[in-house]
Amino acid sequence: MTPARTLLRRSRTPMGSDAAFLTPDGIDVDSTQNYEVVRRKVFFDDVHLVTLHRERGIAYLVVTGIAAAFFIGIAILIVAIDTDGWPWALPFLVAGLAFLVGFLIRMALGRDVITVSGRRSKAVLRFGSLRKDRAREVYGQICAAVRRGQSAMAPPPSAERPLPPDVPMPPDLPA
Amino acid sequence: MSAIYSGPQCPSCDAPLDLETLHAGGITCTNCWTDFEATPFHPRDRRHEAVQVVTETPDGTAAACANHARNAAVTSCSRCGLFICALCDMNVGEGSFCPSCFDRSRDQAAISGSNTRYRDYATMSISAAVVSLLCSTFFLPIGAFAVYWGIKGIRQRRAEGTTIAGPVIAMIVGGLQTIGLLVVFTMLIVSLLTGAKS
Repeated sequence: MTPARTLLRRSRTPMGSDAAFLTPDGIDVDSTQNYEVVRRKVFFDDVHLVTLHRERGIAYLVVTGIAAAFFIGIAILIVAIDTDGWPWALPFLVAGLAFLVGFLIRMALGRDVITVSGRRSKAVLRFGSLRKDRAREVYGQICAAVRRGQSAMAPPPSAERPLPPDVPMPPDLPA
Repeated sequence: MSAIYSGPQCPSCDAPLDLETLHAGGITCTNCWTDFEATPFHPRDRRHEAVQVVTETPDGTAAACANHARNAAVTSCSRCGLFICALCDMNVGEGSFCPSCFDRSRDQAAISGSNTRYRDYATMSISAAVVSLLCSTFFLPIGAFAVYWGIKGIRQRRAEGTTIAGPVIAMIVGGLQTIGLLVVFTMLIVSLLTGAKS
């Protein structure tokens, strides 16, 4: 375990969670599944490409869309059966609206994804729809760190000073 | 990270990208037409160093690698002291190891730099604390596990440099649940004993 690590992003999925850390020599990605953490690393001196793009996530849209339709549908059904029973419909309406808001925000704004592609591995960092500034900041941070890491690997400039250009001698003046 | 990763790809459709034609700025994938912003880099190729061949010294002694008799030893294993050449030198920032010592130390998790798979004790502790709260009515002492894993989790998180708030709260909850169960058990036993006496 490396002590000097800066958390860049932690994202949770139904299958587990991923955390990306910035370290002095690369990016650590810790994937947690069933209480077991698997650490992978992308070294800065291996990075070929860093990208930032926006995605909507079909699975997220489908799940939140269906959930919103389901809960709002139940709320409408309760009110349709008995108008006086609206207090019973309220919790379903609130749950449905929460899913609907999630669906609409993702549909409108999407989410930013940073991909760091190395020679042999890649790291993917996903940011929430409302964290666009943070995504842009981390993108810049990663690009700067890669640039720094790769320039540190570059050979030092030659110690020998270049020879001055030949200066033509003045022509011999007639005596 | 995908198992079949073979170099830079489109971040959306995973189509391979030609690095020579990539430029910094906005790019549209010709396969899926996704727009993305790219910053290409040109890392230097790794330097391949030739292994030194062993040469006789004037006094007749020559440090040769224990595994490759023709190669000159560059260092010795910090665990067993064996002379090793540059090929055998397994150094991940915690000293030089010969391949067999490296394998053994990695199996025993003695080299933290080589350890890429470990248990997340902090999360285990938090889960145990939640379950202990739910299972309190069944008199199951799960809180003790929260405390035990919490101690390991705090040690782990300190080494990582991340927050220890989660395992600390889990330990408090688990500890209170365990103490509560002990108090209830003690009261039960006392009341049984006093009831039997009277």
